[in-house]
Amino acid sequence: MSHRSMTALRRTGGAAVLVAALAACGQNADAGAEAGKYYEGENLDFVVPYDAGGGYDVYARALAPYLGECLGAEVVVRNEPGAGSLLATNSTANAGPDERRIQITNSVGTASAQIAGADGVMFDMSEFSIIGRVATAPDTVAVASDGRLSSFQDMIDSEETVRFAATGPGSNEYIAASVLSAIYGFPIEVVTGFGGSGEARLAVIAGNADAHASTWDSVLGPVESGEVEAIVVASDEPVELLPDMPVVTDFVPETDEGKELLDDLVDLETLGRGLVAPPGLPEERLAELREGFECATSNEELIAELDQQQRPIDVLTGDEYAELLESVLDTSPEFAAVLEESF
Amino acid sequence: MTTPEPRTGTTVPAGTAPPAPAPEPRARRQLPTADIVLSLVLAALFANAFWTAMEWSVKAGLFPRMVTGLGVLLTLLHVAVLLLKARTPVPVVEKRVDADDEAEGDVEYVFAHAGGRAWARSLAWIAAFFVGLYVVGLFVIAPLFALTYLRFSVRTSWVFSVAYAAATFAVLYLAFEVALQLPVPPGLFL
Amino acid sequence: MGEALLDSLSQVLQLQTLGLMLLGVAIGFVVGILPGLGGPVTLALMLPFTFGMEPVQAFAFLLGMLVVTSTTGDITSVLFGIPGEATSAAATLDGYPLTRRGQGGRALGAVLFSSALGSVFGALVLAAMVPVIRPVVLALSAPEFFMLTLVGLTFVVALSGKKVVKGLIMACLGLLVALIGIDSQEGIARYTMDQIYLWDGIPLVPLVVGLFGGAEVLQLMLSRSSIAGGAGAVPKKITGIGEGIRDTLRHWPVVLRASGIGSTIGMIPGLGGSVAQFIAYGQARQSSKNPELFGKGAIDGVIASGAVNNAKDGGSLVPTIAFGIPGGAATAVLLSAFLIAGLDPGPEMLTTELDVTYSMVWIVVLANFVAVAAAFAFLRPLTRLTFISGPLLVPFLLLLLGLGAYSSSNSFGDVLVMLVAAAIGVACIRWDWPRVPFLLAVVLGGIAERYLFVSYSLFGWDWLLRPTVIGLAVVLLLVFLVPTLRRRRVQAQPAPVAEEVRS
Repeated sequence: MSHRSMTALRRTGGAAVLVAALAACGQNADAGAEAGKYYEGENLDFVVPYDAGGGYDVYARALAPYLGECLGAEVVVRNEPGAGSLLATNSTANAGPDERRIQITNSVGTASAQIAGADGVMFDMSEFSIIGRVATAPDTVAVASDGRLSSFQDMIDSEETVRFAATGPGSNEYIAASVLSAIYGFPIEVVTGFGGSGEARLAVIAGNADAHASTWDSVLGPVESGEVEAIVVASDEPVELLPDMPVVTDFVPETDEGKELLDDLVDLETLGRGLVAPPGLPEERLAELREGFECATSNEELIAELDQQQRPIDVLTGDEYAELLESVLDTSPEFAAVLEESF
Repeated sequence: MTTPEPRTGTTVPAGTAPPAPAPEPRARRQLPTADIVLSLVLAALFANAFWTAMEWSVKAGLFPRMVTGLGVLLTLLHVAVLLLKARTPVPVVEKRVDADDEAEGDVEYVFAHAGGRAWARSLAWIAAFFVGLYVVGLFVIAPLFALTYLRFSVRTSWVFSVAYAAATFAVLYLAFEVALQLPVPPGLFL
Repeated sequence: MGEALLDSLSQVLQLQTLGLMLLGVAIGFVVGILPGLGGPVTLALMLPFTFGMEPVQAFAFLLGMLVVTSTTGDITSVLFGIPGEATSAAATLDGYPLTRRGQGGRALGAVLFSSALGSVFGALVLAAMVPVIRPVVLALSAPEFFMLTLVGLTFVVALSGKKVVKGLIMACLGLLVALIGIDSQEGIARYTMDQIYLWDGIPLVPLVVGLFGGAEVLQLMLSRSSIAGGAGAVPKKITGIGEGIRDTLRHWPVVLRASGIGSTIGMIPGLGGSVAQFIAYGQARQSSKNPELFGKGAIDGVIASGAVNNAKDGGSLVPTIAFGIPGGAATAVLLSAFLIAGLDPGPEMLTTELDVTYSMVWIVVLANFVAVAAAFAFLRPLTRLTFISGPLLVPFLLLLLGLGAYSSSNSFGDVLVMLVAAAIGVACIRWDWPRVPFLLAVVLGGIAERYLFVSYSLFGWDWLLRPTVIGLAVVLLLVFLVPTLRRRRVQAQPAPVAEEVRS
């Protein structure tokens, strides 16, 4: 490469960068100053911390166009899978308040990881700018329809080791299983190494494992087709679409310690699927997002659309959700110790 | 390309250099240096990984220890075999096989016979592209790279280079930003 | 059964359904050609459009799109040596060398036509499986999956050619790469170099794109000739497509075996197309009359990789339909489509909703035939690309590499993985180390470990005594023994020809 061409190259490159940077700045200034709305007319990244196709992805993709309409923004769903949602959640925690980025969170998982002090947690859930809760996703224990356990009472009374199937330590299905065992004192073994929730459930259907814990909406299909039976949900109120499924609070633990752990578990499970923005968002921007969120989630069309997919919404406003999160994170040392066992 | 290249003294024109002198004399079988070095590097890598795996519990460490242990054994075995083979005289058949093996234009041939300058230049262009992708993002680097590479490396006309770059940008923008709304590398400034 | 089959065909053939299928095919066509941008992401993007569609319509649209991506992914592999999908890597191995010799038309003709035949086979398997789906899927469990991964790993030997030791070393390296990430037993981060990015392991798509595509782009930059540079002057007419089709027909046993492998492995959740392609390819090499041509442009290698790719789609629908257990990322998205359409995968799909199941069979076949026919129409202009000056393609191909890697998880880490894989690929070619055993081991390593632990946790050592496991062990032995015996037979007769071929 000759000297002249090299210079020319550099000049062209520099100019292009400059133009791009100027264009970017220009856009920001215009929108911010004129409308007083930070997100209007802008691109807003809606981050899903998992691959396309899962429950979080479904919620995000359903919500995105309505949120976009309410905010007047172009909401773009972006999958950032990795480390069981920790990677994207860390990125959101590190994003500056100027970044137009929101994220749907597996709050049960991330809060558990934070409480347990697990590796890879570089965020504090309470520091996020909380927009609200999209839906609850309490864990449900499912057993084979013709298996040896036919009710949760059977499981509690079981002398034999109850074998749960799970993908790996730290997953929601692992946490739910080991906390339930700690509360009610039945012996368990968590068999890990399955490639996904589906595979784990298949092992239960085939009778190779006894039970599998997963969010109630993911177990709905198999329950309705009669493959498995949902024997308990880790919540204090019944699930609307599975009215016959007993709630965990119907089963009173024998020990006082168990009772306290149960309360903590139920609180944790109500966190469900949250929606957060980077920490330190200025008040008016957070208010704008929260308003947009409430506007979108009260849209009848969205509700109908999600109902059709059997993924109903269960909204908590930003303030309510922030309060709930605060109380869950401030948990008892005993519960924290139980959670630590799952990582 | 008129300026003298500082790296090597050769004045080979652009593109594939004539066969380098090194692998040519085949009268006697030479030590397969590259294979031995690569095997030793891999052996070191496996050994290091084996060492790391010793810290893990039996369950988590079982597979890693098996794999890396096997890796160390195989690489060392390979080195031993290569050294032994190098000491025995070469059968005639092998030489013939090697000779007709690399048809001109084959990937192997190109890689083996491209000059140091061609390598350096190509790698520099690739590095420039990916660094640019990281720093300024796809929508800037794609047309920019197309323009500069075509104009200054391939030496196509300005008109063609600009048209190619413009088309690149248009297709990318329409497909990824307008139609699919898929995320692309944004660069550091956006 | 026959009535249900006809009934479902008439449902698929309705104007609106056909129109949606064609739309899906068109989208899948483009997506398949672009590396990295794969089926699952596109399906997720298109999912919202299926609201309000009838079940059969929704599947015509989505399934039509999905099955076509693996067909057209092969086009990129054959023409540019860059795998259009993670499942199209095997097609580069022989397809690209053929293109470089100026026989791109023949290779494309063969890969596309065998794809079409493979899809019919896969669809037939799906249709034939309906009465026995459930017991078969339930009989297969972790021990069988583990044995299958072992069978897959034995093909390392076949795929190394005569460089067996080098192949085994590369396989070890691949297994080591497969170990990167959080282990599934105790949650220990193994070989992650303190990068959370690596917790889920090395992403497959960037690895495949880099390993196979990187070297080819660099080669074009270095040689500055056109892709088909070795072929001499630009021919006036691109020919050979018909020859490719005839090749496919002549090698019908290859098509049959590859399709069988594809649909069987497709059925197993977690294995899928990225494994099946190499097993089919390795098998084709083992049973070929001229295995020494493999990797240098063997047409039967191209045919095997085309057929296996599309046969697996039919197979991967089996667990999804029967149990709602997705066989892979793409079928996971498809599962959401079931829910949107108001269907519950499970026994109903095989009884009351049987017509929907059969309509899927038809869609797989029809969509593939439409895509292959369309592809044949584009073949001539596409093949011409390989005769234009190589450097002109470089900006475009580099773009494909970058985008292909990035779009797998929208992270720059993916681009880095692609670049490292490209460096490995280049080193492999430069110093003559086999790439394929490495990739095969990466794909199989993690799965093998997981299933071994699950097998032991579930059954203790009893898993070794399961009849299916013993059956697979026999297959394993055959895979090992048959080529050895054949070699013996060849050596028994004085055959100097065999010694002449390259190692």
